[in-house]
Amino acid sequence: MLRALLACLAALLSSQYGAALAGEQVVSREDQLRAAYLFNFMKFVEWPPEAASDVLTVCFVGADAVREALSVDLEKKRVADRRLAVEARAPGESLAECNVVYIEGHSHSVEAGAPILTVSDARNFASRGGVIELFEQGNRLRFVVNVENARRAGLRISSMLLQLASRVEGAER
Amino acid sequence: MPPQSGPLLKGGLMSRRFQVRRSSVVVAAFLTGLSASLTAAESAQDLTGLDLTTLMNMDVKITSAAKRSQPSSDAAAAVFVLTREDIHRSGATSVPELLRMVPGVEVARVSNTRWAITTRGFNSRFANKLLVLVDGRSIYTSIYSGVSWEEQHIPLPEIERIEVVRGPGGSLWGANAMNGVINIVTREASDSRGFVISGGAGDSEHSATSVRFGGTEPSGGDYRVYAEHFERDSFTSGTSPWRSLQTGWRWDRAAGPGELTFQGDLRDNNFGEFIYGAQSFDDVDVSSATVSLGWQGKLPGGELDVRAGGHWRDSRKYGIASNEKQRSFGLDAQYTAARWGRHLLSFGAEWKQLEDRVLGYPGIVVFVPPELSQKVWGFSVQDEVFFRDDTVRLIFGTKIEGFEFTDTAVQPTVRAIWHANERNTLWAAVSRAVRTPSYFERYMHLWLLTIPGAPGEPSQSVEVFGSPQLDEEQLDAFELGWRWRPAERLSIDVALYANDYHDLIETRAAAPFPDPGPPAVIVLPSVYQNSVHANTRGAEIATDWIVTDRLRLQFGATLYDMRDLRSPDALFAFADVDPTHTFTARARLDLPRRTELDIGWRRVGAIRYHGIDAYDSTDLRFGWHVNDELQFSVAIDNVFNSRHAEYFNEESAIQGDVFGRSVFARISWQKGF
Repeated sequence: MLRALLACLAALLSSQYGAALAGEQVVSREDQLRAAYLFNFMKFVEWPPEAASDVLTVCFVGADAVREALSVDLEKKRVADRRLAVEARAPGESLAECNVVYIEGHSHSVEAGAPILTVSDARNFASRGGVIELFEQGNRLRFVVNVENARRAGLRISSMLLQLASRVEGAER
Repeated sequence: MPPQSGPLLKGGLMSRRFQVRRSSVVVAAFLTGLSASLTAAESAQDLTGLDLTTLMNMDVKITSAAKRSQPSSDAAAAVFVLTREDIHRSGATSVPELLRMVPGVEVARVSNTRWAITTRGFNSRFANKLLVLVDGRSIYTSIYSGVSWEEQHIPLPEIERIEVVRGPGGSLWGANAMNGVINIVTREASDSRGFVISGGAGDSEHSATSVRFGGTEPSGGDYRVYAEHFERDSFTSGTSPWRSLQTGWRWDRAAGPGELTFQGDLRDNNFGEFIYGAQSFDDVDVSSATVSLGWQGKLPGGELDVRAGGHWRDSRKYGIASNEKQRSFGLDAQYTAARWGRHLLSFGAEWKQLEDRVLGYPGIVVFVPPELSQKVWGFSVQDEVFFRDDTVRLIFGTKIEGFEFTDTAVQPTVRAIWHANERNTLWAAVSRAVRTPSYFERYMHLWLLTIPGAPGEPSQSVEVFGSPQLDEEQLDAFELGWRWRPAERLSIDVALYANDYHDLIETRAAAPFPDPGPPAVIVLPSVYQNSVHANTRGAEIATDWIVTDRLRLQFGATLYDMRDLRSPDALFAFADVDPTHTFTARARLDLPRRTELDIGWRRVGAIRYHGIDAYDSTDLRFGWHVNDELQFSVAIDNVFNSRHAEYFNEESAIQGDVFGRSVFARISWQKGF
């Protein structure tokens, strides 16, 4: 009995320590937050019918830590019943199959038009063709949405998301 | 008794933005340690389950630890931080009540208005070894040395967090940060946009009302203004209740490569009590104003934080002072150089001017001179040296402070911290800190009591005399700490210390002398002297366990022991004025339909010197977020109505008030934009 208990304990401990010792990258809080924002954004976006599929493909240009944070328990994550696939892309590589692209800094320019939700923390990303720009203010993450760029990409963005945005750009006056 | 002076701006050491932004050592000491309570929360690696509104209220960098591999992430000091969430879930209506949640902080409620608060011993209504700052500005008073908590009401929704550092902080914060430092950080204006109105009522706290409005003004700056009023029971029958009214503002705006902050508060407090000096029941009236202007930002090669501030305070019939008038003004600058090789250097300079005027009651207590003006200057320097891939750090720092009436004080520290691995961090420190003698200890003359003489013989008069030659009290402190994360969601923070105090200021009997009067008496004088040597040691343990996403448990334990080597002729004692043990536990439960339940429990050991028994208290709070705009909560203190006193009332020389169950309900409505 005691041996069994000890064995259980040992198993428990080793699994906990194991993960830490296996060199799992420690993702910063900041990047965990970015991943969480990204995941939430997807819930407020409607893709055009031609982009419909069972799987929502999220591509990352750089931002490895954000990709890692989003990949935790990936098989359990769903956006409106769509499963998620996470892929890394090199700068300049084609983004054809991507539904969502997260771009680190100015590492990749965005071609407007494709039905892709583009998100980045690059400065002025929203006014340079991107759909959502993340930025930090007062130690909180905030975002700007450019509805004109979303419209060109054929994306519909829920008004609930627009309400939470610090700024909405490209809106008709 | 009297209260607070309001010196100034301890070197913008830690305005919030800055803390999160820079890896300055100075700041690091504080922020860094956001330790125990937060590391656990942070370890929940996946935040995608949270909704956007929740995410938008989360700090990007709670510790520098979250900032990738910054080793300044963990403080080489015993640090505990109360977050906004802790404050929201506490059910507390004042800062002292919040501090009850912090392991290692001794909190005793003396009466409806008064609190005795310290860390690592020497508690008293006039506890004088704990420095308290609000946004970097000291609220420690030079009149009696200590903090008048009753005058420092800070609206809880305006608080971003409260950082508590146990152990000496003299090398950074200067004199009087002997046993610890508490920094209350208020929210940035940009975090409080919108309109909030809240009202509450209860049996001991009769009513509390507050309004706040925040927004962006045309030039791009953010601002907020607030006003708050409350009325609390005076437990003494026949006296007026405590009424407090205050208002304040904060304005933040980008300016050059940094940010400008302009803030201030105006306060007025009235309450009835037994006025020792007047020997009658009457109303106390205290009003004060504080204004400060600061700039912080990046310069080539480092970061600069400068501030100027002023404080005005007037009181009438407060304890043994019939009238007090205090004015102070200060300037403060802190520069942190960018890391250079292994070194992270920072420098600070400050200057302040204090004006105090205290009038007593002739024949009961007087102050000679009744008016005093003094200047204080200080310089600090600190070097933090990194080794072994930044897993080991050594910190050397000192502050040199000059006072007009006591010796120049040098308060050095040497600290070391070692991140042994992902789950274990060890630190150690050796420091010296001082406390400056107060106005009372230097200039008071108190007629304590008269002993009638035998027929034909003169009476004897016991009198307490201040002593202008007093020097600083000194402390040599030795500390050890261990932060352990045995599992992802469990963290344990242990701190041990041994403190060696010398030149503690206490009264000693002096030779009797005749006073020809009239009436003629024999004076038995007790004179304040740097005379006591004492040793303390103790342990503090804080545990934080996130059991599930909906349940969080926190435990705290504080153990304390003192050897007081005072002489038998001292009037008062230091030993046995603190509990030898205190245990706390909190459970925080998120229930369905946006409701929440919080259970707090504490056991505080006996205070033998004052004849206070050990007591238990269980507190409950239930909160309901009806929707995004409307919130409702009920807090019940001391649910089982275990009636107890928590401390001796030193001001009236009677046992402190006895507290039983109390209930407070609150409703608040907010509209963001």
